[in-house]
Amino acid sequence: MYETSAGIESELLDLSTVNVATLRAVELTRLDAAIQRVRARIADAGGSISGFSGSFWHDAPAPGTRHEDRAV
Amino acid sequence: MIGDRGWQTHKVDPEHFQALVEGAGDERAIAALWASERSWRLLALRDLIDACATVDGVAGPLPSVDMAWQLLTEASKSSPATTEEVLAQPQVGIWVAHTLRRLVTAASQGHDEPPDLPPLWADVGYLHALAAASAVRAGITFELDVPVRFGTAVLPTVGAAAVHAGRDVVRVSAAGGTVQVDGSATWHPPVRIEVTAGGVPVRIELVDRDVYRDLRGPSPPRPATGAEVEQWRATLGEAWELLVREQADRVGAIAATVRTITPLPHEERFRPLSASGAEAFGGMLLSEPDDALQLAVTLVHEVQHQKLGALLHLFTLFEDGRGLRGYAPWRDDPRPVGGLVQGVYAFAGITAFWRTHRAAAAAGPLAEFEFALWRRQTLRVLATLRGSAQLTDDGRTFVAALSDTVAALQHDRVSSSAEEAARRMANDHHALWRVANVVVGADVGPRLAAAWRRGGTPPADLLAESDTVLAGPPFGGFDARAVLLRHRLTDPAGFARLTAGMHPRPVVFGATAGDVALIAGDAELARREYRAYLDQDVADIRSLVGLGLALPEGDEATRALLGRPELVLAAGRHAPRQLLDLAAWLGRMLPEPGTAGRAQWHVAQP
Repeated sequence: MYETSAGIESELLDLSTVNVATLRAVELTRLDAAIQRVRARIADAGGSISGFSGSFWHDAPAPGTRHEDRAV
Repeated sequence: MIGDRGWQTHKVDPEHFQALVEGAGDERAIAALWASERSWRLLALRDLIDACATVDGVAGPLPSVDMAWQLLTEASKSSPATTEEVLAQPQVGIWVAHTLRRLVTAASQGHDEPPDLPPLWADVGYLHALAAASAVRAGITFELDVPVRFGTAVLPTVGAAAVHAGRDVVRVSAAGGTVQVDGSATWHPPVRIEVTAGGVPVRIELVDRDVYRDLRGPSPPRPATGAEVEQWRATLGEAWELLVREQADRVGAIAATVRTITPLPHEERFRPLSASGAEAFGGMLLSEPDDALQLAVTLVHEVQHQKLGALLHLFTLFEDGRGLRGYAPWRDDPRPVGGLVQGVYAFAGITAFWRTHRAAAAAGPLAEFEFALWRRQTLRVLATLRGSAQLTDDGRTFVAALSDTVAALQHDRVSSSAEEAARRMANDHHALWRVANVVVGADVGPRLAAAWRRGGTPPADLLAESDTVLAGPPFGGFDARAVLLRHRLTDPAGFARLTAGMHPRPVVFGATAGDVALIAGDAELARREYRAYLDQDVADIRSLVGLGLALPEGDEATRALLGRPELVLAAGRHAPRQLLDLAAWLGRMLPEPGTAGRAQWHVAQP
């Protein structure tokens, strides 16, 4: 870990000066690498979930995405 | 550090990092994690909004994404704090991740998604719901159409409207903070619970209607009844009293972290269901707990996952395991390195919880057993991780510090009965894991059986450790004997009823009469039961391992049945009536169970 007088350097961009009103105005090239890192983590849907009891007899109840009644 | 595009990166206070690794961390450390999670959420949101622009008609019948974003921006300018609060909700992270995955798929494949998925705009439209919720809370006058999912229009942190059937979109209008939803049959405000103990409050929302409250994807509302809410309130109150009384160093971090609980139905006793997700900081799924003690330890457990999830957004602690898997005593299936890291951190917290709780006046033998079990199991997996090539430098720093913390717990004195029970239950689960997951070559069983019949020593290659495991779904129930033991430790009378002839399976899934006899201390009866099961089916792995536990300590067959049960099963299929003789023959050539062996395996290719 790389430590400076300000603390341990992390890999996450600090967007504390950005808010909803300014988020879309930030030039994409300035965020590109950080967004790619976020997207890579999010792509692994199951990998980010922890803690389901793995020693129980049934699968956890499945979400109902595929049984949604819709008008159109 | 300034990023290559001129941005600063988050800095982590070394004291906060050390405190988070070694213990719970405090409110300031958690506040820093909320700040870094805000950056992560904004990056994900920006990616999602940009991705929306790559898909034609992404908003379907709803107003455009730009219009929704404009309202969100107005709300943010008018009331930044409330808009930040809405966007920080755990379910927002689940929605962003889910919808971004769909947008990426849609952009790469056109709209060629599975036909049974709802239209993409139904997911994208949660942005409209967030904008509407933020605008309501900011007191803005507006009208905006939002999607109806499973008959419900949800405005996060504001409430949910059950909508008359047949509508996929409803119009939300508001003025001066008062909201109206067209076509709404009933309105349901958020279910909020606040409890205080020792002057320390904890506030949570029971999220029961939001479509994105489940970590695995959209799910229909499961409204909590009034009785359920009161049960949660009462149990949380008792659990919080226990935590404040016994775990003073943890309650600040827990209160600062937890914002939402997604309630799930009660599960079997001692087998709660709980989950956290890295994209949902502050939110957790919990089955209705058995009691306050279980809820207390589950809160500790899940908050550990929450903190590590946020740390993993800040630091890369491990690289992709490239198909490698390891043994995790809390799971029945082989786990990748990320799962092991999550597990050791969570169970380090659990071990610390039981360590303190066992000293409390009301704590019984259960606490002693749990402490003895989890300090042993956590240290075991930390040993695996210390040798893992998948850890980064930061990961090695993290694991080394955590190892020191857990190693120090091994010096605490524990009753010999608890230590012995922990050792046996650890051997039990490990043996079941091996026989279920370790892949044995097709020729190993017949060759071993043939060597045994000859009475000789098998070729060394037959006893060599397999380097391959299955990676299918968990078998389930490998903790059955440990669960029976928990029943015995906490409810001797109830356990006695099990020994009086009632079949245990309705009470403890996966348990047999042999298991009840074993846990009751009747090893002779257990051996008879297990042998009877194995006479019917030599591949009954629970009985195979149970037999190993029921035989006298030091028995040569025990060494094979608990240490290399996959070899016993492979050979035993070719000599089912001589299973014990064969196991004893194998055991003479094997080390004691628990002896360090292979730590990581490759995943079997289908």
